[in-house]
Amino acid sequence: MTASSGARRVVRTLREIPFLVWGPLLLAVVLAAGVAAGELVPRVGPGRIAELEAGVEVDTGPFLLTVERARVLDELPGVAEGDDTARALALVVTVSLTSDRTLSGAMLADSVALRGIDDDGPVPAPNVVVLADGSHLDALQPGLEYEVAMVWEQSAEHPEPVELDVEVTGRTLRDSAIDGAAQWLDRTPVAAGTVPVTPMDSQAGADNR
Amino acid sequence: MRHRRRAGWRPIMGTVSVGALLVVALALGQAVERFLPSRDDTLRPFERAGVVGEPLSLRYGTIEVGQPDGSTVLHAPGGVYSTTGVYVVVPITFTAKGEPQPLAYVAIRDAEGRVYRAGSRRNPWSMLGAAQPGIPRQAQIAVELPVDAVAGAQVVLAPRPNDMDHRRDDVAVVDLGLTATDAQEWATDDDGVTLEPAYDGERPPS
Repeated sequence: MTASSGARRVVRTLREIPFLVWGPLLLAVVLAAGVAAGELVPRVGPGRIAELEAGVEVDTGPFLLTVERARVLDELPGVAEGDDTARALALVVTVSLTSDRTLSGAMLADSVALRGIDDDGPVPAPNVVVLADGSHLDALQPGLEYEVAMVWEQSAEHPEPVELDVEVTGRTLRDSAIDGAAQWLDRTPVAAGTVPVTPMDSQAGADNR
Repeated sequence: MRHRRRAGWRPIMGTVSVGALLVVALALGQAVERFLPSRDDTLRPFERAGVVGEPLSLRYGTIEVGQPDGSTVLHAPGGVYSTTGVYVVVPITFTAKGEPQPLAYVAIRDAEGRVYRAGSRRNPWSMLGAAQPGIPRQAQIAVELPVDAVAGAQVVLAPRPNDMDHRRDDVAVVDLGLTATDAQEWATDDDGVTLEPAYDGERPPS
């Protein structure tokens, strides 16, 4: 049997199959090919973590924030009452909202974490203080920019850091599967990097910025 | 062979006709749904518009909004706060109707639709709990806004704290009567404005 006669036999066989059989089969093959093509397209977006740099703005979803500088302090009155057993680590951050509604300061505190502060994983900021008046930032209003200090306490047993390892977490605005309300969900790291520390200053009590 | 081919076309045409009818029916359904009211429309709250100095009657009570004041500094029971925008302080009189009632949702809405919630330490609002029916409750709210949000701002009040629960209920929306001139005057004021604590009774004449 030659190749051409074999091909003619295949074609003849296919012609005898009813349309109602090969039509849906062909449709299924086309749809499967489309799905496979979608899976094979390289995705860009969630999962890629940008390099964090001091002075460079990061879009976390709900916030536009810039880590300006890092400080290590003996204490920060009213926030971290340091003693010989602990020191205060602070990031000065400027932040504004992307949304048109009030957001809680707790979400901002949860968006910036320090890695290597102790023996556990990234630690979100326990204190967020407005530099202008020393108040706790418990709510951010749309259209305003806030300059804040995000403050952590670290045991003095750890060596004094020369840089802070920072991880910024982002969120996506979508409808909740529970109640259908639009919420900032799906916490995902969006930026990470180190910020050099301004060394401990003998005038830290007078100038905590 | 030719007889088999000719007879095979009838079921194919039948299948295609059924498919075409299905597509037409789906398209008609889509078109009809576009003209029906959406679920959000049927669940929207009933906004009752008011003005400063005039009592506004709602399902759960009467609200009267007083003349607002502003500054870049707020003196509140929780501390002294400063803002890069403007603090707007609004006095409110609420008289509950029928049963004890709180006003748990208070916000300022600007002309662009941005919403600035009160109820945090930096944006204080205290009703001292539910107001007793027939007894006026005097309270104040303070909200920090960007300067460009002051002109045309409205105060929005409702009994439930979650705005999703305002469906099909009365919501008071009172135009504060503020202008760009007010915004500029307050943006340069650092003497401060004081938030008074809430109390029951009539407001003394100013």
